[in-house]
Amino acid sequence: MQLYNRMLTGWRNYLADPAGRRFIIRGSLIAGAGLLYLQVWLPLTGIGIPCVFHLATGLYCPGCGITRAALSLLHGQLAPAFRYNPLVFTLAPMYAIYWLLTRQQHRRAGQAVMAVMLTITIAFGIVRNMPVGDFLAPTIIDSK
Amino acid sequence: MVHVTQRNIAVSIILTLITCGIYGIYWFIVLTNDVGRLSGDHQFTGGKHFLLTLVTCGIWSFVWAYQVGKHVEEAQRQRGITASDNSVLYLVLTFFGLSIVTYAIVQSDVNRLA
Repeated sequence: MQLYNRMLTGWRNYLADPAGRRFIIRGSLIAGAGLLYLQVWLPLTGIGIPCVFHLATGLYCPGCGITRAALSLLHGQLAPAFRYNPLVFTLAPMYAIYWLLTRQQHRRAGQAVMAVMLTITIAFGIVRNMPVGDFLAPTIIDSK
Repeated sequence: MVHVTQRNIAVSIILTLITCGIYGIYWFIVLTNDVGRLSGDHQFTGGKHFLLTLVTCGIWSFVWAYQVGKHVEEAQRQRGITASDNSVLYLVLTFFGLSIVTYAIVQSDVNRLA
């Protein structure tokens, strides 16, 4: 019962807390800026933020394809988004776990999750540039 | 008392150069951990910032550069030392590809606070 009450009132406490409010305001601002960038700036100008690593080496970094993945997601196309950058979909739930663990003061467990995430990211960055893992490179698939 | 490691800046720069930047990654991670410990923010960790930098094709390093300046200032303020906010300088240095200079300045501040 106590837990249920906390769940009911928790979000109100969160809004009353200045840090929580700041988090929500900042998050909304960042999300708004992201939407403006993806939906207004990119279609109008076509000038995206270049990946310096990709420009310099021609190789794909672990983050290559995230902008295209976000664009696909905004248009509700899950499968193409996943093929542009599968890493970010793998990391997102792990990052949520990491965030919860560090918030609950489980620092060691948090570090372990972070180590796993770093290993996955670096391995992904290497494999997507090899012939055997080229299906992990940003791939355009027919969404229909 | 917070335990952080003092590092020789010249040696760290040379090691970064001769390892083609791989030591620089290690330096970035341990330096960020040290700064987080000094400012008392245990969420400011090297692993997290390295991961976010990788995933964002390096764009996160600008956020890091700004934040690390603020954290050093906070650590200095907590210890009653004249606090200097170099966050914008670090941002500009990072923009021009001179992150290693940022590491060196931050390391010298950490060495003073250690």
